[in-house]
Amino acid sequence: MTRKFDEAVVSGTELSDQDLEPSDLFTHLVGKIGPQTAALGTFGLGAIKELVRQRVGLVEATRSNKGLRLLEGWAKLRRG
Amino acid sequence: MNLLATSGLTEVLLAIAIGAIVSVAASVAVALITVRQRRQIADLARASLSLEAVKLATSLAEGKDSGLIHQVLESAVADVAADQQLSMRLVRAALIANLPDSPRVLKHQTVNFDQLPVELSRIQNDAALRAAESGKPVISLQSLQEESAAAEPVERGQIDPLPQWVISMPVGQAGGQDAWVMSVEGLVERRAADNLLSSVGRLLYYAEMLDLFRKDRGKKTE
Repeated sequence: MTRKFDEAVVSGTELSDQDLEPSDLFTHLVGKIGPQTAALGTFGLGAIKELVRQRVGLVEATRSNKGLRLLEGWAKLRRG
Repeated sequence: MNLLATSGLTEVLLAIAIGAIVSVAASVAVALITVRQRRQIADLARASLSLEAVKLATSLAEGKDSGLIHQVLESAVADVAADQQLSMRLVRAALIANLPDSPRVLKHQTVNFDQLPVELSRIQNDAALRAAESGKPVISLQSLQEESAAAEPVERGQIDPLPQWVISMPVGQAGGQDAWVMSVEGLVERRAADNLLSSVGRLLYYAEMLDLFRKDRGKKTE
């Protein structure tokens, strides 16, 4: 017997800045296993954070107050 | 006196000039480092992997290097459980590989499944395919309308083994060959899609980390 499921694809713009903050658990994990891997050795937490923001198309254009953030597409960023 | 005053002024001017030079040099150095890091990130994002390299990375994930990937999965489950204020045993996860052609759960890469789910459930399979194809997370919620009609009764005191919600998180970019999907499921307690967005945000980091592992291993094997 199966049950029905409703599916929804999540677009990057549905995620708020707060949703996109790396959690303490993740930060701890990077610190714990980062040195064991070449990939994470080269790309620390800051770089992973930027990759995630690029992946969902949301990038902080500035560190200043809210409202001064720029939404850019992932493809546009990669061209740069 | 004049001589002394002139000498003092010269020293002050010299100190200011040195300070300015050091400041400019530091700014240039920081800018160069930032540009280099951005270039590295862009290179990494563009890195294309041969199918063989990715397949090898998949086999490594099932072999002796599986511990690291399993740690990532365990941490992802703990993170989502904390975010949804659920007991750890009510959240489970599996890493699905070989998408889109022949999806299967990677050996040893499950958390909180009592038995290894050798065969994917239909919901895991469909959502994983959609996530791999779109390159975006997919949230699946058990339909309220169908529950009473189609659900099997759960014995008293037992946990319903069917998930109430599933987050299918792609690892890597859309349409990639031999894609992975991290499937994280919640049992017993229902959630609305909006309530799961913060967990999606958390899982994005774990997916990015897994993708870095794959690219790193892919590079080593090319």
